[in-house]
Parts: sequence; structure tokens; C-alpha cells
Amino acid sequence: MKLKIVKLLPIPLILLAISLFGIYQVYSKTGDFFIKDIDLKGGTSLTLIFNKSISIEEIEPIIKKKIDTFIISSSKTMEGSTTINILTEKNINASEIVELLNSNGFYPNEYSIQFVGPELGSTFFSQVATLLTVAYILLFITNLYIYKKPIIAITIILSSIANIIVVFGVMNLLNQKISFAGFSSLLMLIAFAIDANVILATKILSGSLEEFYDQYKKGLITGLTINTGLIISMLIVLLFSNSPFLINIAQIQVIGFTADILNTWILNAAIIEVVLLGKRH
Amino acid sequence: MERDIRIWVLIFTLAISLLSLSRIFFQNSWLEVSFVNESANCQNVKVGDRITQISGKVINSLEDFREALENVKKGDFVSIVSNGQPASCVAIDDKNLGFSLKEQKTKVLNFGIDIEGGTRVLLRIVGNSTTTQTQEIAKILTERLNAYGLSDIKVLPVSEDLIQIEAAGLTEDDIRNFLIKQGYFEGKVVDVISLTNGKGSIVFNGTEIQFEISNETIKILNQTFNISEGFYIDGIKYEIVNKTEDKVVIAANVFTAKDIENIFTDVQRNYITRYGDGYRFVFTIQISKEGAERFALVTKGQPTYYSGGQLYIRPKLVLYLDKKPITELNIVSSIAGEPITTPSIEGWRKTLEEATLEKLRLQSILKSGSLPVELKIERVETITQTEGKKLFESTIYILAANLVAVLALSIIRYRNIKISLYILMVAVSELILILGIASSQIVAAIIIFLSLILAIVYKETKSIIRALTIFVAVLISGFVVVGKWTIDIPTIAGLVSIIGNSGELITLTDQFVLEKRKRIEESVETGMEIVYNSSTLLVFGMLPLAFLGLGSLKGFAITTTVGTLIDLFITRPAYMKLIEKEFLKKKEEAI
Repeated sequence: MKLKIVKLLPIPLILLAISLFGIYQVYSKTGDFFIKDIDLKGGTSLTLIFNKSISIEEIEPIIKKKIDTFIISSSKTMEGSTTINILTEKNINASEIVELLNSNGFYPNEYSIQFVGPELGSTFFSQVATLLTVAYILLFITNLYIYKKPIIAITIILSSIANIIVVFGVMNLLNQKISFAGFSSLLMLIAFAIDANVILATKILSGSLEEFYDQYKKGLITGLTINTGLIISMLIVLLFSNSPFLINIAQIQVIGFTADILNTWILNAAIIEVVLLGKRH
Repeated sequence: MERDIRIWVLIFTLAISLLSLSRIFFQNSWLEVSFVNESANCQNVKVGDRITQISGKVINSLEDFREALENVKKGDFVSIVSNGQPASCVAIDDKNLGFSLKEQKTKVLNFGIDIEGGTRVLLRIVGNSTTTQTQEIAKILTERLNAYGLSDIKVLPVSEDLIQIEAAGLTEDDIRNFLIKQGYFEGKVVDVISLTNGKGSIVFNGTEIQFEISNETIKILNQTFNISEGFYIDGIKYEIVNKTEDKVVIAANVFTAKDIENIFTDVQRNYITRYGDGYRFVFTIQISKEGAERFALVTKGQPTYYSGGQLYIRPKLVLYLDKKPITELNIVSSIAGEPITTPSIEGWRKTLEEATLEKLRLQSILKSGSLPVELKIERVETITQTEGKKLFESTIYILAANLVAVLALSIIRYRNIKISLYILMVAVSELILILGIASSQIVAAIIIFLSLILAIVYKETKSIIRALTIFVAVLISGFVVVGKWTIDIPTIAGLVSIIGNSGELITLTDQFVLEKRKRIEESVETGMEIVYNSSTLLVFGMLPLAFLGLGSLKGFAITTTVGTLIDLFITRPAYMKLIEKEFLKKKEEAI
């Protein structure tokens, strides 16, 4: 019996290599594995909402009096209101900025601020790292108990880690930041990507080795349908949402579930194929 | 029979969820001030006030508010009815009175500040802290915010050294200058004593006590103390505040935060008056008997002086908050040596609003007591109602679009309208059940209890791992029964995933579509095995996040687990019975 899936292995491996390159690029510059958004890195984001049309050029020189370095952006709605967003790595006082704007004749109707201390990121990461380690250990033990085969337990964890590597790498290459909400999205990815791996494992183990490719094919059809559904639902979020939180979540899901197709149905399947059918081959 | 019960359970849970959600149509609504600009020139308008009229027009909706502002020009005087009382504002710009309104309703669904708008703060406890201490701090902060009059407060310890606070109307200035103040209150009797060759005398309980002071030590009552550490007379601590060649300032600690028993709020003892070119605020506090006795011992027999026809003792009573003097009071000689239990705190601010705010902040801090540790701001997020509304609207579109996507995908995949409609029905049912659970703790308890009963009745607990999965899922889901579920970004993300993730339905359906040669029972068994295995892994994966995770991680874990529980015992079995019947019919037709 010829091994079929292992021939496709270069596809997920190339994707992994590209992703690792994306991670290395950011790591060499910043010391982080991905581009952190302000809520993970520390700094201040101030959003000012005006009920009339205002240009960045009018606001920027006023803000410069208070903050040296910042990134300013704006968006306008059909109703004529303007949203100005100011990002800085410093801790700024929103009330002072609003007072300054008021004294220059600009009166925001509403404003929101997000300030994050630099220590929070490290606390968050150490907690996430601990929780994920515990979660993975529990996943491994449960998996081992259900399927009684270590290779199945290992491949589920492997594909989950590969998904995270691809998400970080591709997000880095697309120059996209990952926020606190994005991290929730990574957890969603871990949780729902289990489905595809369970289908693969249950299908393959439910039949005899002769039926391996037949069962794989049936599982693949189901798995592809599931991931397509998830990707479509997240593409809808990307198309319709104006919330930066939901957009960040959706970006990660689209990349993650696309990678999950390759990591489950080629990378994992190839490993299982080699382990189960390798001897015969 | 089995079919009937499982489908009837689905119908019943859907009915109670819809009934609970129908309360949305009978909500009372009103408009509340959500934001006041620093430059606003308003009288009697503050965050949280109910606004009912502007320029004589009744305001019932945000649309009415916009219409009322349509012709307002910068500098216009606008009359307002706030909390049923007359109020006013001078417009700071065209169509801008300097404050924003938000719609408030009696709540059926509890939305987080991501949707409602408000402020979320994450505070870190400086130094080491225990869980009990963190809970004590959370309690003090809750009391402080309640006393401050803020609405919708949620104070939640998210780890041993982090506390998360969500509150509508809490400003950044409030957080820095009020909320995280340690609130360490002290009342000291401060006296300036003359020195001759480093010698002086202090009066205690009417008796003069001699002391000798150098640059480093003070010798009193035959004992020598280090200046920086102070000294004790009859258990009362004295501190050396300042020392020159011929004078020494000594403070006797008579009151601490523990001595505050009450803060009077009646108009005689709690008021603001015009004073000079600003406003003076006064409020009276009640001090414990022990504190009052310490005051009597320290002030008895003190030297006196005349001022404005009144006889005062030389020392002054100075009240401190976080080591900073907030009030300095002259002590009338008639009360010296008396156990004074009701000293007044006074202050002055330039405007009435500033005086009102400062008085309220001081009262709230004193009422809640001092924080045992220092707090540091780790994260502040304020979300405007406009942003929240945008998120809510986009969520509705996303959910609707997802339902359409689920339907379209299943039609393309199975080319069977009946199966596609069943899949859509399950997706909609899950959405309704989750919202039903979020709307009422009773509904949540019923649904979780029914899931458990179904699991036992249908022997889903036959293997150890399945029994454990059910136990853990019920345990995590229990969070939504203990406290009302808040719909925030992680919940929305979970909802979108649950609707979009028709994965398990597809898995089950494929068992019939792709395994035509197998017996129906065999297909059902493999399908349910896949569903169970993936649910087991999911629930165990979520376990550490649900119990140890930061706020958002926890929220996500709970949403996912509740969704899994509903999937496993309510919607999936009902769906299985429906498609089983469908495929049985097909098989019979084929035969």
C-alpha cells in the first residue's frame, strides 16, 4: 500500500516555514513573537467623537503640544460625525487633552480612552502560558484515555500549536496587531479546531487499516465543510463589523481555520498515516 | 417515546427562554446623562441624572434629544429638567450642551460595558496579597463607588493581585483622584511649642510634661526616643512634625479611620456655602468614644488665646487623608478636655461643582474606610455608548448573516431543504437558549438541570469519561446560575462561533449521508461518539480557563461550555431524532 497523504506534507511544512520566518522577523525587531496591540504592550489609545466633520490636520498640531510622538487616524460616518483615534506609548490624561481641544474650539461630543500599564502584558502572558499548559496537559490526558493511542493525543496538540504558529506568522507578515480580544480568539481556535482532529481520529480508528483512505476521505469531506462554515462566518464578521475587537477575532479565526485544514488533514493525517500504515509500506 | 421527550424538552426550554426574553418588550426606559464635558457650563447636571425635558420639550428618546439640540447655538442658555428638578446649561458649541445622554432600561439581558458603554478599570495590588485581602479590597471599592452614587458597578477580583471594576459614568479623573486613594484617615492635635536650649513642655491631661530635644532624640518621662519614630504618652502616639532651633511642631494622633462611626448627611451638618470667591463645603463625622477620649486627654489644660472675641486653645485639630492635611480646625477652649465625638471636615473649591465633587469624594472615601494596601492602575478602558451601539448593531448583522451562511452551506452540501432547515433550526434554537440563559438565572438553572436529568435518564453517564465531562460541564455552567451572565465581547465571540460552528451537525448528518451502507443505529453511534469526544476535549480544555482565567478568558470558557452542554443534551439529540426519521423514511422509500 503506497502512502498517499505524506506526499502532500511539503504544503503545511512550507506554510509553517513561512510563518516561522514571519515570527522571526518580528522577534528580531521587538523581542516578541507577534505584533502586540496597545492593550498587550502598554500605552494609551484615545478616541474622540465629534458630531461634525473634522480633519486630522486641524487636530494634530493641538495634540502635539501635549504629546511628542503619537499615531493619529480618523474615520467619518455618513451622518457627518468624525471619530479621531490617537495612539501613544505614553500614559496620557484624557481630560487634559479634551480641555486642550476645548480651549482651541474643538468640542468632542464623546471620548473614550484605553490605558494599559506596561506590566499588565507580562502578567497576562504568564497567566495565559500557565493556563494553556494546563489545558494542553488535560487535553493530552483526556485524548489518551479516549483513543488509547499516544500518536492521536500528540497530533491533536501538534496541530493546535501549528495553528498558533501560522496565526502569529501570517499576522506578522500582514503587519497586523494582536489585541487582548485576539487572544480570546486564539482560545476559540484551539477549542474548535479540536473538532476536525476528533473527526479524523474517530473516522480512521473506527475502520480497519484497509479502509484507512476511505474513512479519511469521508472525514475530510465533513472536516472541510465544517471549516468552510467557520471561515465563512468569520469572513462575514470581517465584512460587516466595525468593531476593532471583532475584526481582530475574525482575522485570527480566518487564518487559523484555513491553517487548521492543512495542519489536520495533511500534517496530522500524514503522521498518523506513517505510524499506522508505515510498517506495511 | 424517546423522540417525543427529547423534542418536547427542546420545545419546553425554547418556550421558557422566549418567555423570559419577551420581557424586553415590556421594559421601562429613560434617558440618563452618560458623559459631562470638562468645559460644560451646567447647573444640576451630572453623570447618572435622568433628563426628561430640554427647552420645554419632553425628551423620551435619543432622537428627541438630537431634535432638541438642532437649533441650539454656542452660548445659548438652555433650560433642562434633571431628576425632576430645574437645571440648565449654556451651550459650549452649536448643538452641544456639554453632556451626552444614554438610553437606560430595566434590564432583561445584562450587557457588558463593551455594549452599554462605561469604564473598565484593572487595578493591581502593590506588594503581596492574599485572596481574603483582595476580597476585602474589592468590598471597600464597592462601598466607595456605591457611596459615590455610580450605577451598574461590578467589582471583581480576577486574580490574587488584580481587581477589575466596571462602572457606568466613572471618569479617568475619578479613578486617579478618588478610587485608588488609599483613604488613610488621621486626626491629629498639632501644637507649636517654644524651645529654650532644647527644652520645652507638653500639656497632657492638664499636666505639663517637660522634655528635652536634640537633632536626633527626644527625652520625655525618663525615656529617650528617636525623633523619626516619635513617642507615646499614655498609649497616644506623638510625632515630631518639624523642628527648628527655638520651636518644635508636635502632633498627637487622636483619630484614625477606624474611629469614624458615621458621616452625617442632614442639611445642618452637611452643606456648601458661598465663601469668598468660591464655595466652602462642610460635613460632620461621628468619632468613636475611644477617639473622643484621646482628644479630651490631649486638649485638656492647653494654653489659650483670643481671636475674634472667642477663646481658643493653642493646638489645632488637623484632619489628614493619605498623609495630606484636608482640614485645619481651631479648637474652642470650651470643648478642650471634652470628649468631642462630632468634628467637622471643611474645604474650599472655586466652583460649586468642584466643591460638591470634592465633598462627595471625601465622604465616599471616609465611609468606605481605608484600603489596606496601595493600588496601581493597570488598565483603563472607557467605551462610549456610540461605540457600544455600533458593536451591538454589527453583532446583530453578523448573527443574521451567519444564520444565512449556515443555511446556504447546508443547502449546497446536502441539497435537501428539510435537513438544511433542521440545521438552521438548531442554530436558531442554540441562540435562543443561550440568550434565555443569559436573561434569567431561573431559566439557566432549569436548562442546566434538564440537561443533567436527560444525561442520567438516557444513560449518557455510562463511561467514566462521559460522566466526568457532564460533571465538569455542569460545574462550569453553574457560574451562570450563581451570577447573572453578562454579554460582552468574549460572549459575542462565543455566540458567533456557536452559530457558525454547525460542525457537529454536519458530522452527524454525514454519518447518514456518507455511511449509507451502515445501519442507522451504527451511524448514530459513531456520530455521537465524535460529538462526545470533541465535547469532552473542549470541556476539559476550558476547565482551567473557567476557574483560573482572567475576566475575558473566564467569560469565553463559560460561554463555550454552556453552548456545549446545550449542544450535547438538548439540541443535538433532538436534531438526531429528526434526521434519523428523515433517513429512515428515505431508506424505506428506497426499499
